[in-house]
Amino acid sequence: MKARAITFLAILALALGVLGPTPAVAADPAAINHLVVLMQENHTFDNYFGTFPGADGIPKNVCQPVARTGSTCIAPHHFPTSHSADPDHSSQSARSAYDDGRMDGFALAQADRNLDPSVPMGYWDGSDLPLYWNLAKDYVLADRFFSSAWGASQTNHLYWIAAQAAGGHGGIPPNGFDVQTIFDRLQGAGVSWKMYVQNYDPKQTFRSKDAHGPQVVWATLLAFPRFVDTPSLFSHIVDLSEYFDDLERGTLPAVSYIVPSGASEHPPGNVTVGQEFGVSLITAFMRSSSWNDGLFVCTYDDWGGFYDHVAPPQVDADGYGFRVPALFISPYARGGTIDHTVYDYTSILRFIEDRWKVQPLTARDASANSIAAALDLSQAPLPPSFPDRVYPPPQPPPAPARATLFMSYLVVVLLLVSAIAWLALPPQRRLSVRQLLGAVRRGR
Amino acid sequence: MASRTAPQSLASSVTSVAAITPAVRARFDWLAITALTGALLVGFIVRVWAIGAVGFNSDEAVYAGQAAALAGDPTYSKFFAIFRAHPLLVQFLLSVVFHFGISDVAARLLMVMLGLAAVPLVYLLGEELFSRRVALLSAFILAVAPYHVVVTHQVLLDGPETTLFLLTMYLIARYGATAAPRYLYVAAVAAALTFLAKETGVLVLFAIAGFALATPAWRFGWKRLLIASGVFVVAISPYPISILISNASDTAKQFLVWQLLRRPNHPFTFYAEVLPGALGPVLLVLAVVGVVLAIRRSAWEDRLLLAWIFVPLSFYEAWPVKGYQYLLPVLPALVVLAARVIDLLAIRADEMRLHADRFIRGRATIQRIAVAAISATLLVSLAVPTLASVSSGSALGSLAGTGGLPGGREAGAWIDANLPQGSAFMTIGPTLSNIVQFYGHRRSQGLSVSPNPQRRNPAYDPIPNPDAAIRALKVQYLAWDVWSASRSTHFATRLMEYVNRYHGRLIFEELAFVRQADGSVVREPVIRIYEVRP
Repeated sequence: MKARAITFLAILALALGVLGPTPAVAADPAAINHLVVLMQENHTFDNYFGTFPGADGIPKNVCQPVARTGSTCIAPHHFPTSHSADPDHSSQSARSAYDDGRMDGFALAQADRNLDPSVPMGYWDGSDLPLYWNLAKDYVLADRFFSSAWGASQTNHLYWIAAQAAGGHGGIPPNGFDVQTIFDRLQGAGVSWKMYVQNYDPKQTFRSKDAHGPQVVWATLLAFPRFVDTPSLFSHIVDLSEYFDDLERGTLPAVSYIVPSGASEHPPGNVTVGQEFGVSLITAFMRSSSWNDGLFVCTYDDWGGFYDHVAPPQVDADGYGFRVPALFISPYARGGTIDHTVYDYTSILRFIEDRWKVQPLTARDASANSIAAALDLSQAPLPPSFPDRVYPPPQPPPAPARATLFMSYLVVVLLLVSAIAWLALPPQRRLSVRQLLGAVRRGR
Repeated sequence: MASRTAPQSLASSVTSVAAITPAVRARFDWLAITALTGALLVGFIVRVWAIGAVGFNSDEAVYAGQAAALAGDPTYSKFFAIFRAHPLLVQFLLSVVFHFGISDVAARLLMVMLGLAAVPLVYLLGEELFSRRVALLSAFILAVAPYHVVVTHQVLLDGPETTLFLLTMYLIARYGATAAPRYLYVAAVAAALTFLAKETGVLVLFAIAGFALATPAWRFGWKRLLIASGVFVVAISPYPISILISNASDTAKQFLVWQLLRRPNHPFTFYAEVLPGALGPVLLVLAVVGVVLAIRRSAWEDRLLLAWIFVPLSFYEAWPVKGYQYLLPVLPALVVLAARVIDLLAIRADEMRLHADRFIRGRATIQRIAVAAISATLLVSLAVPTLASVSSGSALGSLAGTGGLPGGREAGAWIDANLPQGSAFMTIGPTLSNIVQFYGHRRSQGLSVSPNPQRRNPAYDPIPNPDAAIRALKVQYLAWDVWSASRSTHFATRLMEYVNRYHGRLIFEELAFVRQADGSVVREPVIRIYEVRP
């Protein structure tokens, strides 16, 4: 009995230690009637927000070895352009980078594949990503949001909708996937939902010859026979243009998943182009009536081969994988804060399950922290705020400059006022200019 | 130094005033003070009547925005650079008020106070140059003159500039009368502040120079002139300081180049067309008669007033850029000359009253009634259009500087309350953009702002490629307004082309009562806001 209690306490302590800070008490998400989730591609937290003020970003003196012997290493460096090569981001490379929690194999994993080992250590900052950084400044940036699984897109996209890998480690099986997804739950509960796909081609499914192309991998429902073959389900998968129409008409469903295409930020894609795309979706959301009771989540599907310094907690054989950026944008977001709660993609599922009262899909989402922790539903709603295109936003002229300007005019105005007062004095009390100068010279 | 030489016709009047007893003189002072207070009160009432009924126009929004930025308000600092081109005296004074909160009504009240300060000053000037009767009449005329009222109840630079111009000239008159150098030195400070209110205030120096050249008997004295020049240079130092602090020497140069190369915005007949309406027919006739009499008499007082009128008038007539309010600094001189005409008629009546001939004495009463009737007609002819101007909004296609922009404040408030922060606007021209930025707190740019630096005010940024701006989501809203559309059908049409091309959806429409060119007032859409999506 005592041994079991000790074991329990040890597991509890481990869990607390591994999972990081205790999550904030989750807010009741009932006030959120529209959830939009955009899943962009392939960046770690440190790669995008590693130098963001106040976030758990790139530590000082980091240098990743490029060989198993010798002291040559590569330090984090700012990318000179808004695009980079596409580093290997397989689960094998991820585990090499992880190196049993030592987090020292990022450059080496690339070098082992004869790829440029400096690429993973590059990062972008507010000068490259002003829109995202300003959104992070105004709303909530999560710095403990982990990808659900090691490795690349397929597995993580499955976790995003089904809270499990569904046997998808090796790609899409010939007969597709057949596990329950959050959309089955929503459909069963009569909750509206849509998956918006950029440049959507309805003919591209797991049965088409380009089954392993981005559309099917990223819009994973297209790899589920049930969703492809059932018109009432298939009709929920639509082109992204409908997102804008739905916003304009006020017909945005309760849950919206957005899958990008060319603007996904997947290297070697231009990150600024992806940023513009992401922000166009966010600002359209802000301009709609859905904003008033909505939450927009922008996150990334995997690490993309880039460096991140936080060793991901290992909750099962699949992961977690490395941290990815995540922004929570809502009138009820705890504006201007950095959320340290541990999340992964199943945290989004947990939120949906709590909000729309549907059953969890697996143990993963059942035990995940809900992203409701990023919200404060008791606060006065934040106004929609389009991000500034410059980070940090331009500030007023420095106070000393304004003060100098202010004082110079004040002195001249006072000069005139005192001169007129001097003129208005009776002659017997008025000193002449000569007397005034004399008095000044005498120090009186 | 020339001595004051009263015309012969004034001699008996001067003698009679000098002969009155101290008790009568004290009563006269008391009456004068009461009358002046009455003029100020009337002037105050007509200026604050419906002062907040209509929001800022474009220029008011810019000056108030600069002042708010100078006061350190972070919101306005994003939209309005402290230094644009003009010196900042008025903006500085506004910024003191804005430290207690940004308010368009408070800003206009300050302008009213600065404008009203011209009333006691014109009184002092009239008394200094001619007589107390001229002083009182001038004070009442200026208090209700529509030109002065309309301009000084707006946040424009011209009202304070006029007051300071008047102060400078009054001090020069005092210097002329007393030869005491202290008046010259204080006049130098006042002239500097006139320049700091608006750079065209430098014309006060040319007016003084013109007066000095036209009055050879006048001697400034080189030493005094040198000291006064030094005082002037020191006192205008805030302007170069603001250029240095703002790193705006290029902007200032660009502004100068732009002003010099600007295409005419009105025909050369502009002032001839506009001023009669602004002054009113009675004041205009009296002022013209006063000018003619002053030219014929040509004493130093007359030359002072004539230089004051003709130097700015010549400059603004020669300058291709014309504006309704630009000639306001000339108004006090015209007012004094008009009052002087009435004063001469009254003097004639006084002389007739003392005449030996009984018949002529009898006609004196008629003459006095005629003087009173002319004075009353003059004041009523000024008060009626003044009240009409201050109690209604701008007319369709009305001149810049003649009033607020109906519906602009309301549209801005709606934008501020309903549209996402950080969203951006495209308007037909800078007029509505300034309003959107001041009241709506959203970035806005005018389509009509030329990409050619020689053809645009450097304070405004052009939109080099409006299509690209909309496609790149740098602009999300297009705003149309009736005033800009009436001034530029070309850019109004282009704006609507963008509305149609980018699936524009009307999301806001502001209606306002608008005085039409024929005088009728119609409630019609004045501002429309469209949401566009690429």
